Amino acid sequence: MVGEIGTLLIGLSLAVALYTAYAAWRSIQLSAVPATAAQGKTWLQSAQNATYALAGLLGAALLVLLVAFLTDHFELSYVAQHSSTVIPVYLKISAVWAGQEGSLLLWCALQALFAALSTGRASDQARPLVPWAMVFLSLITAFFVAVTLFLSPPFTLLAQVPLEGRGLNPLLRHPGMIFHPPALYVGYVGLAIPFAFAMAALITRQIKEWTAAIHTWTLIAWLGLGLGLLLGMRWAYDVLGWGGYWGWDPVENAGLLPWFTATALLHGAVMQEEKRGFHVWNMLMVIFSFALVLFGTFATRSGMIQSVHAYTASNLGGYFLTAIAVTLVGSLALLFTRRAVLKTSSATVENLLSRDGMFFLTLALFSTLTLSVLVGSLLPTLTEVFSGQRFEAGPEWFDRVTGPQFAVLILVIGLCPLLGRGVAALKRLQQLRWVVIAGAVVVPVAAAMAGLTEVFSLIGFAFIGLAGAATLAEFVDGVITRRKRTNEALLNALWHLLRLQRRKYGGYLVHLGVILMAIGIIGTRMYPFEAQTSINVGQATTVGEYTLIFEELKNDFIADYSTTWANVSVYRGTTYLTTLQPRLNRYTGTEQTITVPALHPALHEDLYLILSGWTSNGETATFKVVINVLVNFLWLGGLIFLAGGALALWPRMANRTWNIVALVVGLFLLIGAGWAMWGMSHGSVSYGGGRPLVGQQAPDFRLSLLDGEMVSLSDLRGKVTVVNFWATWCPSCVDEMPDLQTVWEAYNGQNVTFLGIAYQDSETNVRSALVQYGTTYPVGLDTGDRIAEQYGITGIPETFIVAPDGRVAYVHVGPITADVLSAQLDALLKSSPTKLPGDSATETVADLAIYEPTTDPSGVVIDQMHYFIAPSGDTVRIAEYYLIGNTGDRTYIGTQNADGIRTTLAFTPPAGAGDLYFDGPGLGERFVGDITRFADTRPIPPGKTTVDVDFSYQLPFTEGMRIERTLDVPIRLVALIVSSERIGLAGQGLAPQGMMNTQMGPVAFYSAGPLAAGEPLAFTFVPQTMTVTKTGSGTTTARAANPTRDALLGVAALALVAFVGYRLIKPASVPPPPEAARPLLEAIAALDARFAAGDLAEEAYRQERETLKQQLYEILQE
Amino acid sequence: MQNKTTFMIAGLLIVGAVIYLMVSSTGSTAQFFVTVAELQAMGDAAMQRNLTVSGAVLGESIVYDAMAPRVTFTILNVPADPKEVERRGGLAQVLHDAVQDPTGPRLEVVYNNVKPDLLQNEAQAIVRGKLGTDGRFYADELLLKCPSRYAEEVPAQAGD
Repeated sequence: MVGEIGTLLIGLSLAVALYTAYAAWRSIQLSAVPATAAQGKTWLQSAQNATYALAGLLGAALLVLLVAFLTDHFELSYVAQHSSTVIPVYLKISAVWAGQEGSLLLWCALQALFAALSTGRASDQARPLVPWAMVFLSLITAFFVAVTLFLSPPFTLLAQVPLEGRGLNPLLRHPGMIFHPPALYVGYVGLAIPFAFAMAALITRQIKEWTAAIHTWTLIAWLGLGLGLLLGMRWAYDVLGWGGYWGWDPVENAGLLPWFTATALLHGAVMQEEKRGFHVWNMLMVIFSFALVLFGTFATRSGMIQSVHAYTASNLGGYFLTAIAVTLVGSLALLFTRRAVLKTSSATVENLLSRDGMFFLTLALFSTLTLSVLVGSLLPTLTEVFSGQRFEAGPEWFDRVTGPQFAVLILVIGLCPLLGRGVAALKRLQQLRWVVIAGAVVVPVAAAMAGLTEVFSLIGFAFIGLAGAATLAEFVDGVITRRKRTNEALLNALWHLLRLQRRKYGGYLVHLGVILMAIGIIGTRMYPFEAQTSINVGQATTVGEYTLIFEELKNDFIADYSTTWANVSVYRGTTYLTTLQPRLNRYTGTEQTITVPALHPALHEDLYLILSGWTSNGETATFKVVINVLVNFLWLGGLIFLAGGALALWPRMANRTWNIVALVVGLFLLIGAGWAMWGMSHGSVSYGGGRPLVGQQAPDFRLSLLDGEMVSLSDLRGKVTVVNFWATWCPSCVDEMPDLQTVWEAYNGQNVTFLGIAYQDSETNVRSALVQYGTTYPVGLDTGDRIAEQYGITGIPETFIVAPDGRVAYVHVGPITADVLSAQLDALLKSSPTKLPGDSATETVADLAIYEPTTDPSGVVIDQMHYFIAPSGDTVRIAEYYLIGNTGDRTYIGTQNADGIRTTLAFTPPAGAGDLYFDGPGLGERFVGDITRFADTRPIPPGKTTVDVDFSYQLPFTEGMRIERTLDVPIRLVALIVSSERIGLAGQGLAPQGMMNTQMGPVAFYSAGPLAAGEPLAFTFVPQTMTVTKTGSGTTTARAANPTRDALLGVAALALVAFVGYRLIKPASVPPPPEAARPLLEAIAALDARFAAGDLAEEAYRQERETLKQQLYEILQE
Repeated sequence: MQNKTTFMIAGLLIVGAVIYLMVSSTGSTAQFFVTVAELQAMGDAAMQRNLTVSGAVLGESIVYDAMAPRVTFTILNVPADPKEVERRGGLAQVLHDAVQDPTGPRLEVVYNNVKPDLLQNEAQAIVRGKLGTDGRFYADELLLKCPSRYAEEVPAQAGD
């Protein structure tokens, strides 16, 4: 039903449009003869009524389509293809013009509306032109209606009605898309009005009348195009996610070309009104504006132009090409026959350096700009015709060709208000010469001081300074003159000045906007900055003056798409700016992905962040970082540009109230647009003050503990305080609790306090978790996430260590282990007695301290290197574990390989190795290469053991086989552990350290090192000669005792036996515990059961369990 | 009269300068536009020239390394002449046929950048860059047109 009504309305429209043309033509015929003049008047009235009917019919058709969208009429093919039930209402509205069919209908409706208004409300002066203008406008409307009806019908019905539409193209899901196409179409259809009136004027030889008729409509069309282009630029910036706003794409150019000619026309019309000639030029501009509108429509639909977002080739091309040919040939021929009428009278020709001269240059430059962009868009076709080869004009071509022309235009903008006519031509320029010279000097100097030193950009800035100073001087001068006369207050005088001379000052406001936009264009086009970077979770990278910390990757499912975003904290130096959330949305069904950039705007530059990709485990993400220098001047200039245009357009109204209403509405819209650009978040979220970095004062807080006490961080000055954010719902937080408890027990009594802060948790859950995990350090609830906000917590667990002076000494994102925590505490406790409150920050090495990058590997050193060798039958499994440190003060980021990937250390397993296994992210994730040689991508920050590498592989085993390993960095200490009673090692520099029994059976220890960079480590498998000794380490060695080294080795070896052994043995069966331990284990199990059943008090249970545990340890250590 | 001459000279100077800019920029920055088949016919002459090549994306050849980031993919020859495309049943059909043809001319493209959303099987890729000595095409810029249902809507909003 809806479909039939719509088609019927469009069909009727075509008939009415043709009737209008006929009736208007008939009235011209009849009016020409005095006898039938009355009849002619009736026909004209009928034609006029028909224009209203036409606007009504097409408006109704558009409304029907809108209703079809709002009520999900998927029986219409167009609705089914562009909408669905899940998209919000505002998107359903914009979906009406999301495709070719609907956009053409919108075009028709606007064309009819403009035709009706321009003819019905024509001024008395322009009245004689109305009949002919009606003929042309009706024919133009009829052409578009016919194209819509026969070639691109929006109301086509589907044979089978789908239950759900295909949804709106995700790229178009932006509020700006409601306004962008209608604004552009206002521009396109608006330019048909001056064209129709121009043709009417030429036919009736009434050139004077024409100027009066066109001014308002040209201005409306020009402003519509300007608004449409600006919205399009902003949409590209916000949605397309490539970092820019203008790519010189043929489709963008299609909108720009008529805007150029319309701008030229506006200036030419001023000259014509001032009776300074320019008639022929204005006629040409009108004709070309309209032809370029048709050309744009043709170019984007014919498939002739290669473009990212051109319409696919459709059958419309030929029709539009014909229309362009008819328009150009017809109107130019008409212009030629009427050339005598256009010959102007006796306007004296001025000097080039005069007002007339500047208008001439303006028109000349807009003409050459139009030509340049047209040639650029058609270059492949043109060069193919002339040279047989296809050349393409890229953005660089356009920048180079149009840049100088825009620069001269800015200069002309600056000179124009300074120049007059005749003898007064140079008077004002002489008066204001120091002002403009100051402007032309100050702006480039300021730019150069800000680091923008490119020569051509400085010339541009000089022109901008000159033009800005001259234009502002106009406002200042106007206000001063007015105040002298009226004694008004400053703002009052400005308001009246703008109100009474709205065209003049509206024009100057537009110029001011253009000048500001030029600053933004120079900044972004001449100082582009783009970088790609991959960061691991919790790690920092430096881009320009920003430091980015990749906090975490999250995802969610919304309506018909899933979204993944990264939280990236942004710092300038150590000052927290914001947290950016660049996103990637994946739409179900189409699998289309959309990148949603995140912005941190500032006046001097925008930081623009794009999430490019991530590894499957979410550990590493790749970002594209774009810094757009001065880009906000572009948007700010755009707003001033629009305000100036609106001011010039606003009709003169006597009613004071209306003027005030207009002012309020205008300001409201401007503030709204400003808010949309700078007030909305654009993917930027502020987490309080951000996470405090190492060396900064830790934010103070008061925490009410579960035992009822109140503690505040400032009370804990003089103590080392470990602040741990956790929650019972977070598995990795629960995992780290035993480690925290272990460290707490070890350090309790020293100058250390722990504070557990439960985040978004309930008291009951927290209490039972504390019981379950035996946590005894103080814990409190962070009600309302106050403290978490202060500490910039974006995910848990996170642990902060606060030094006695109240500064942050260490930050750990993610679960912390007992050894890391205790190492940090040791470092702090050792240094704390010498520290007084107020001293400068402790230079503690920490994960999150931000370092400069370096490609110099000289600081890299392997602190410890462990080989765990487990022979079994005819194979041997070797696990290698490296603790890698960096003695420099910069993060070593490695060298770039042929693929552009940065790698740090490379490892070469022995020949014949197989079954490579990594603990954590492996090949293709953290490491690149293959089993014969692979390299680590993780940068090595300064400090001891800042990176560890852990992998194992299998080798065929033969007795007497030799293994040689070489690394290109120094190694401080090598520990080798063989889990076999029979097999031992021998080699140069290898020192046996003894043999002991462990849970896994007997193991033999060897040590080696230190080794210089490139010095090989070689050993051979030999029969074992050592036997198990009771003490475990060091007694059988013949080497001179080295207590530190032995102790270190012993600790490392023990840790390693448990650590690596666990992993290696995992696939096999776990060896049974010694017989002696069995009764103890059973006793513990029985004890647990009694406690769980409630037979035992908690205190007694804990004591008993502790005793049993100690006994068990003793047995196991035997 | 003297003033009129000044105006004409100024006008001619501007037009002359703009024409010079256009011609010189065409020589230095414009891209030579070829099809995959034409590129292969050029042989060594194709090395180290700024080129724009258009072709159909072979979906199964797309390899994306998110960490680099780098995309490699193969494009297959499609004719550049719109009339020829029309004759063969439209762009979508031509792209579809190109991907089905195992013997047609093909070109491996390396693009050291993030994988664009529209890079998928049977999309039309327009790559700008240079042919490497290894026979692979190193693209600085990658434009994609997609003959699927969204292709026509994007432009409507993007500036038309």
